[in-house]
Amino acid sequence: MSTHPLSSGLYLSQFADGKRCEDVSMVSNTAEATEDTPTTEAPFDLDATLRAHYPRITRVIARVVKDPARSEELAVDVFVRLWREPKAHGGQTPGWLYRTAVRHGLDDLRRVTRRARYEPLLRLAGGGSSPEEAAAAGQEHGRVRLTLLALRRDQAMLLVLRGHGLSYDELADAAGVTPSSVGTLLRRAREVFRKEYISRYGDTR
Amino acid sequence: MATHDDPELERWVDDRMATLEPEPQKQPGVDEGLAQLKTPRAQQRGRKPIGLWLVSAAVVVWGGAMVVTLGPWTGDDPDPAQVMAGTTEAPPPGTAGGAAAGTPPPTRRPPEPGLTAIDERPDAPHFTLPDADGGNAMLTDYAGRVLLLNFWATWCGPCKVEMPWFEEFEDTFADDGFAVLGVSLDEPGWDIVRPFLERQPLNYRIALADTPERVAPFGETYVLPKTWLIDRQGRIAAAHVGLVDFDSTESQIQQLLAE
Repeated sequence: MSTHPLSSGLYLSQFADGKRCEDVSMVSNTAEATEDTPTTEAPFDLDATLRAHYPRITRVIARVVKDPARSEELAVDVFVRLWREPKAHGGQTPGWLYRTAVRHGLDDLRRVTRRARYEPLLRLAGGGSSPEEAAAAGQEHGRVRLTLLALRRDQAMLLVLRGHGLSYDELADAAGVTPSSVGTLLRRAREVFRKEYISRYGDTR
Repeated sequence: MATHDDPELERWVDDRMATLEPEPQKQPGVDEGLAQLKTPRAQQRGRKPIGLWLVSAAVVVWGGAMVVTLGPWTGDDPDPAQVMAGTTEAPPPGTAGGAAAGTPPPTRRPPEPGLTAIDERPDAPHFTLPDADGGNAMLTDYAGRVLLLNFWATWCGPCKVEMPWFEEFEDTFADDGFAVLGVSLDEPGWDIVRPFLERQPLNYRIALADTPERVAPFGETYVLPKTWLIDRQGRIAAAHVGLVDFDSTESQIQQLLAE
């Protein structure tokens, strides 16, 4: 097998803080990681950020994936991604965390749904019930989750975060839009959601 | 904004979104989260390795059954040891399958390489390959999009392990400007690829490089699977030989989409 010359560099150098790199298993060579690292900015404190936001981020993800244990795993993943994304450090961190958390949750939900459909054996190994099973059993949360998967991710994200109680300003931060446009975007998302839901399940209430 | 309010619509949707309220539970443990953050990543993610192991185990069991039913290794199917190692060597030219070289599998795959710095990325080669729909797949079809170019073959076990992952990437990121193109290197051509696709339909585009001339632009293809990530400007941002790592590849796709 040949080693491709492209496999170098940026990935490791993105872990900006050498001493913290020791904590993450994906980075094996901290010396290499710090070699080309700019040192002008204050180090990003991942521990403090996680302490400040972890419970809220975990609960947002739990709205999407339902499984509390899984939501904690995914929340940790979100913080790993935050660490690897220097552009998200600073004032925009909360909005980035909410946005990434919902997307990560939706991606995991899509993954679970797909695998439950094509790989039923995996459920025997602890995959749990899928949204489709819940929806088939008449459980509203299963129907809502499947409907969210049919929406564009930005629309699903707005609905999940609004349902979680975020203000228009917070939604604007998470969606990367101006606060004045949130109302319009949210209404469109609601319209699309209702149309999609009714086309699948009828108006059940 | 008040002008956009529709109380009935809002109530209708909010009623349903309220069903997603997590059940009362203990407060998520910050200390547990920190501990997980400092745990090797493979141990953090409990389910994906189980799935991977089940799929891999199924492939190995299937391979073992083939040995039992067909006798000694025939070379038409992937060597289970190589499946576990995540690679399959290409067959000799002119055959539909190939005998494995028998290199011992590594005990652990190396970490996924990252993305190459933007100004160091080489241009992806231009290609024109027949696709499964009767058209031609060309690099220029993907201008402005991030492309996952995967080289595979019907006789390659690890290639089949990756296929559901690539379907998932296509499903998840297509709206963001991403596409998967699977290039089959099966020399018998569509005669063997089409029946495979009928048995295992894929949601991404499949093209065929069944002659040396068609394979030539892509360089070394002795070991499969082989995967390139090509950025929106048509440059190779990452190249990987062997079974990709799902999480790393997903992360790289997201990074490329954000560039």
